[in-house]
Amino acid sequence: MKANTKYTVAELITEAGYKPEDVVGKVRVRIGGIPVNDPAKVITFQPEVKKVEVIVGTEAVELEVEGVEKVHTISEGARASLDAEGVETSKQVEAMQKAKAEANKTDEEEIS
Amino acid sequence: MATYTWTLQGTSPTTIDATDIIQFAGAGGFDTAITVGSYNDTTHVESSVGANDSSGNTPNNNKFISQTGGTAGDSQADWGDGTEDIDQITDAECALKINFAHSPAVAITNHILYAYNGSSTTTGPTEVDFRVAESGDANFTEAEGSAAGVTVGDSASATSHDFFFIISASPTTVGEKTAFKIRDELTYT
Repeated sequence: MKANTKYTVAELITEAGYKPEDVVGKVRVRIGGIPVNDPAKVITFQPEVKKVEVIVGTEAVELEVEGVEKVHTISEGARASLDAEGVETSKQVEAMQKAKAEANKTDEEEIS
Repeated sequence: MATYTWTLQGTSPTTIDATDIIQFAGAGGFDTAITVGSYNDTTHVESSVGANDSSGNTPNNNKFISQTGGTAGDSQADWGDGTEDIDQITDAECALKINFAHSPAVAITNHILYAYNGSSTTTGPTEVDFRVAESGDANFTEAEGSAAGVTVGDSASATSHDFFFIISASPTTVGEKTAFKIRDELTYT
């Protein structure tokens, strides 16, 4: 783990020694103060972060952060997660553009 | 105590104060118009009395090019090197930087950024298309109104949190667009 990087919950839980499918959404999980219930959620470690506490149920594990990436980095898992989110976002944008076009058409009809 | 600092990045940063305006403008620079349907060619910070606060700082500009025209459906933008997939942008190349600082350390969740009409946060800006992506995102969000805000990744406990955004806007009709504000919301715990 390095600072100035984005990771997924699944990657961080695995690093803490747990199987994500066994704990995420099943018991209380917090990573760096963030409550989580989705293994695909992306969490950023700011450059100053040196340790991250992972709480799973009643157990706490401290992840050591080994150095800082010079350039903000995105892990492989986080990249896949952000790409998948992007597909959904683009569908929403397309729907919004269609709705706007419809509204403009109605406005023009009312004016004419 | 919490501090919220907005910056238009560039060769030198320009702090965006609460009463300042982020001015999306045409290729001619400060106070020049963008053609209807086109996106910003330059970005500036305008003071409440109309001064160009970012003059001399060579501010970054992020121009929306396409929603899904890039590799594997990625969005594309031009930030000065021609058209590129937005997941290739570096933090330093993003136009907008928002820093949230708090001591002791806090985690950031429920973070969204969006544009609205200046009076109702649920209503998008008037006659403007606004696109935004967090650095690292593969696609733009058309973040118009709070329900459509771009979802910003959670940030683990720290005393200083930097967030970088690609922002771009286009007028859908002629005339200056003033019913257009950008709002950032987050929860810190």
